[in-house]
Amino acid sequence: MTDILEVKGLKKQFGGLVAVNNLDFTIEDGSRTGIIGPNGAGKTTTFAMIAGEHNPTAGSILFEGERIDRLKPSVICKKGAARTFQIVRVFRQLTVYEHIIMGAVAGKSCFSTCSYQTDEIEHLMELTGFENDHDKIAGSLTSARQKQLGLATALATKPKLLLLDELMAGLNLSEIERSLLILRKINEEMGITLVIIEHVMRVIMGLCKKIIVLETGQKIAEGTPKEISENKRVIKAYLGKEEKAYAGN
Amino acid sequence: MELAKNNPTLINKKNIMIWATALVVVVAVSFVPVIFSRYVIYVATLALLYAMLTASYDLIFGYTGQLSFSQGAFFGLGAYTSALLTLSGGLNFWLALPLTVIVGFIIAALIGSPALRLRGSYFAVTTFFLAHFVYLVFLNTDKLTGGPMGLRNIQPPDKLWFIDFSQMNVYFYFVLLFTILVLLFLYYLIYKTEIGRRFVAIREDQDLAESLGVNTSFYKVLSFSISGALAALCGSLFAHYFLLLHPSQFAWFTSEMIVIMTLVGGAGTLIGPVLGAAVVTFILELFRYAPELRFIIWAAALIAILVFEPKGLMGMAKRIRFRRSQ
Repeated sequence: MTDILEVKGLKKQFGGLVAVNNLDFTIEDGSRTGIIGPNGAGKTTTFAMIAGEHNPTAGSILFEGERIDRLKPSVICKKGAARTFQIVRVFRQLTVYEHIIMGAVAGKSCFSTCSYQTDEIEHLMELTGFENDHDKIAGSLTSARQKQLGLATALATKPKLLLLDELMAGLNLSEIERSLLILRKINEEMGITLVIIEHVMRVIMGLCKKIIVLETGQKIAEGTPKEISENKRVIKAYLGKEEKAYAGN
Repeated sequence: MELAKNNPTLINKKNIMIWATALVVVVAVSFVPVIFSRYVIYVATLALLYAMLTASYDLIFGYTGQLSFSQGAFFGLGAYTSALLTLSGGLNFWLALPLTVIVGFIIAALIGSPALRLRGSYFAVTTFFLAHFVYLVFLNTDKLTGGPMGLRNIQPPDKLWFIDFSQMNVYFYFVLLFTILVLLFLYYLIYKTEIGRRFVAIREDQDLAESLGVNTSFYKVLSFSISGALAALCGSLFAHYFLLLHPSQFAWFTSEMIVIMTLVGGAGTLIGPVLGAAVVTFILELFRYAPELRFIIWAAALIAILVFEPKGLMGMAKRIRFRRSQ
């Protein structure tokens, strides 16, 4: 399998604060990878750099073997790397249908009317559970639903790589199960590579084949869910002292 | 069947009502010069001119969501460019007019490309000083613009087929009316096509739009440039209607008035800013008997409007319609 994304020596410094430092990892084409870490570990900053929102201070990002650091987000999106945001971001005044179409046409260079496959949009809406919400105003949805709308819209850009930033936050257990099913379909049926930031361990452990753990901007562990759950350094980062973690178990 | 609902066509029941209302308004407005005195025609012409200006401003503010205070500057640039092209350049007005629009577009693009890298209030402040800068240029380049003495001897538009603009002011009124209709139609087109969709996306959430592949810097500059070009068009018409230009006509207050009129009408509603301009112009004229009190009363009224109806006249209309439907 080839690598769709390759991150080498990535560093981001905001003034005196080093948010991400010397980060290396690769993402295999068609895989499902999770990124975890305590708050402030640099997960979202890493996503922002891959998506082009921030320029890295140092290091390089290769998407399908091509440098994409320092490109604009719109260009990176057109190359096939889409993202959803950690905070809720929607075009509040559009209807759900218009919102998803925006994803399908936004990146195309057309001045009059862009063509989009209506059946593809319908299929997407069905997949993401919006099939009965065509005319609902995006701003009137609950924030958890707005995040799902963000996923549907990002999917409409037809990405090869999808970066999902805390998509499950605020969902209840049954909704999480449903979202997991959707993500699995996206990955297995549509062949989209997934990289997921998530605090809900159930999602990470159940979905991802590889997990990358960040702490204070650095990678402290990488491996399968089983390896990660047994990694002492990870347990320490999450729970503090080792003894307590074992006592808890 | 769901698709039909989401693809509004030009002709359906709701739209027929809107078109009918629009037709009645246009016909009614067309009769103003026939019925009323020269003074009323003057006020009505002024109102139309401001309506065009606010319409041009609505593109960058209402649709693209960029608060700008420089619309008066582009208005002035258009006025002086057109006046100088005909006065010093000896061009025919009907040649100077499109040239002015092109000049407006280019200047707006040149200024917009760096300025629109700033966001929100930073951009707003930049445009505020741009407007003042342009005003100072008009005031201090005596040799070109006449400086504080103003620019005189501007000629009315040249003859166009059989219409002689020097003879009748009324014709000018119709030229403006026609231009506004063309402008609104242009806006309707922009709004309905993919360009308008992107403008709205930028207004709603710039970062999200960018992440979905919208080249936000390009579309913001495009919006600013079209908006500036249309303001320059208004300026050209203004110069050849009033025949006398003075820098004070394009001071910061003009830009501010355009913003206020747009807010009173309701930003981003196509027709709202046009209404707002008409209402504000007439209200200000009504209070002409008390020149010192005029702006105090107006300021109080403005605060009241923004407190009670922040979405302007169109917001009010929407609410009333909503209440009736219940």
